Amino acid sequence: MAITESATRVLTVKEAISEALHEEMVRDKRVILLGEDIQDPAGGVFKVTLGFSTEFGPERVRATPISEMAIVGASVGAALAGLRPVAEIMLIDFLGVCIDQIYNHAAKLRFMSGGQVSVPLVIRTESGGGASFGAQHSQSLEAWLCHVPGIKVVMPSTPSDAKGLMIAAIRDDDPVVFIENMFVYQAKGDCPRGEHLVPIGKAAVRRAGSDCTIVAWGRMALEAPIAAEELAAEGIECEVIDPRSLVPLDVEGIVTSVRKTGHLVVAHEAVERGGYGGEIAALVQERAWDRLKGPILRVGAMSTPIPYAHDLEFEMLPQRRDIVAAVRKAVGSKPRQH
Amino acid sequence: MSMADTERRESPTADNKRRISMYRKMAEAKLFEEELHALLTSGQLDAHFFFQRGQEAIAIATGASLRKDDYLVTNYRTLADQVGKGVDLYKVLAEIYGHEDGYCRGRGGTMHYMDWSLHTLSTGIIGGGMVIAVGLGMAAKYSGSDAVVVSVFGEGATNHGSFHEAMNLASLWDSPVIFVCQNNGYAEMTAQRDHQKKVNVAERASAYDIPGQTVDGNDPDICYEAISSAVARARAGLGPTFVEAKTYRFLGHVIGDPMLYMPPGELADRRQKDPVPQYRARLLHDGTASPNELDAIDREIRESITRIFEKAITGREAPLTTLTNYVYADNSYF
Repeated sequence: MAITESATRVLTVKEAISEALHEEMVRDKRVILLGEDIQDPAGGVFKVTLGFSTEFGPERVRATPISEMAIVGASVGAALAGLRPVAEIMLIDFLGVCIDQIYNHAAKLRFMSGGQVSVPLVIRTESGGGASFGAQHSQSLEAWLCHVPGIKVVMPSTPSDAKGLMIAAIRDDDPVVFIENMFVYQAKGDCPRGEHLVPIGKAAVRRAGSDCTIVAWGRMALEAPIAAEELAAEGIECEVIDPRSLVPLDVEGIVTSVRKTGHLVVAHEAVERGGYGGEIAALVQERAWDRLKGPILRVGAMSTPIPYAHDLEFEMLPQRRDIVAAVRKAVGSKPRQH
Repeated sequence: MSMADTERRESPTADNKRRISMYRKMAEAKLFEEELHALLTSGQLDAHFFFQRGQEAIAIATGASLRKDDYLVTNYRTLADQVGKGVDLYKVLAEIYGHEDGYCRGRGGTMHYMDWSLHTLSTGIIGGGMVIAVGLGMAAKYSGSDAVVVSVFGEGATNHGSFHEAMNLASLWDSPVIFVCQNNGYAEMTAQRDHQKKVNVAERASAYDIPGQTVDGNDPDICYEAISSAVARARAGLGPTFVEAKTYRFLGHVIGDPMLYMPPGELADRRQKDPVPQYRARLLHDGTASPNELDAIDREIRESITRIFEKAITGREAPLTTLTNYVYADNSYF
């Protein structure tokens, strides 16, 4: 869709998500919201739905008890009945108490029923560390969701993508988990006004380069272009890809880039062990091994619970410097001495 | 035979019609499961199955209380529940075989067959359906429909966290949900006394300001009265009701279950009170139906079940090329 410059303005990711929800609620009465504290005056813990219950009423903007199983389960039921619910699970850490409704029900009901039913449900959830919220309020658990066939997983990092993917997710006939990283919330950028869709399953190339491909999402998608500039100063030109959607994944886009550069670094904030970076590394190895000029490297968090103390947490989580180091190692380069 | 009796049989009241129809469906569910049991135990069909045999009274009375557009959310012990709602038993059996013309084209199987054109839905996860039921009810109400939702589960499911979350939310939202607990005395292979102290689990409903009632789940007339009252209440916008129907499970948790956890003699004693022949006897005794009428019904059921079983064996599984259908709405992902 062609968007002219005049049709955009600068928003934060959080504002873009809020705008997408608002526009879809105005457009389609089937869109309803469920979640803890989402009604005014609170307007949600992250204020994404501030003003919504006042405008659309408590029947469409339903503040729920602290009952995640009921939030997701009731949303599955509402979706089966033909509504387009958007459920908010405040933090991805809380998926543990409602995952059955996501992976046994939302994900499987279409298939198990032989196509008799659809579950057009969006689950919004916030993830990510770095703010000393400790081990139970800081995780990045997207790999759990990517493992289960039947759900889609999107994780935007720009306002334009956040808006476009949210609208696409609401209009999608399948359950979509929409992951909003805490730091990404504040990221600013141009965002189109009005109807704006970003297709689920299409990666974005943030920076072109010929020496190494960096695939990064969530907070690392914000760090990767800056890391690439640092590396460019050393003469290493990186191609930075933000997949935006993890399931479905734009495998072709990623493989095409790696076949050009011969090197791949995958960066995510989630724990490296068992992370989705391993899946991407395997996919690329299977499809581009004849063009690989070095090892595929992953950048992720250490295998510990997320610590509270600032320095410990910083050490545990992956940082921009880790992307830089991984790219140097992948291409077999030593830091340039100035 | 009195003149009045003759007249009643010749132009039966709606009540009588409905009661005879309930008997027909109870007998149908019973015979289907008996035939299936024979098929499975003889090794002619290799599948697991969770029989509802013995629980037909509450199951069929529930369906008889519902409209076509009302929702029925059940668990994996669901045959009679869904017969009550009117499912096509050929499509059920084809699904049990894993065949393409089964309800779910072989994707669902014995725990997941369902007919969405009748708004039935089953889940293999204990407790999983209750919260979904609350959402279906909320959506119906939001959309301006007076359709109601029945959530069926056993007493074991009332120990699950989702029970608490669903009851609380249904109460808070006045959701048009009837929680029907088929208390068959056993949660899988554990007796009720070993998994909860509460004997009448309907008492738990008061904790959520939901009316709760315990009834004889083997008496179809009592069950119909309880469920249809709860349905009327929900349809009128008065919110959820909890009905506990005390019943019994004749064929164990799953096919092959030796039922060693049951006290000696209990099963034989309960089989003497099989709700299906008992209801048949009642309809004859109170003059609702004549022996000839019920014999004819039994004969029809026998013939139709025989046809279904003969036809199902000839079915085929879906082509392998269709395996990835229905994972997502748009199959081009694969």
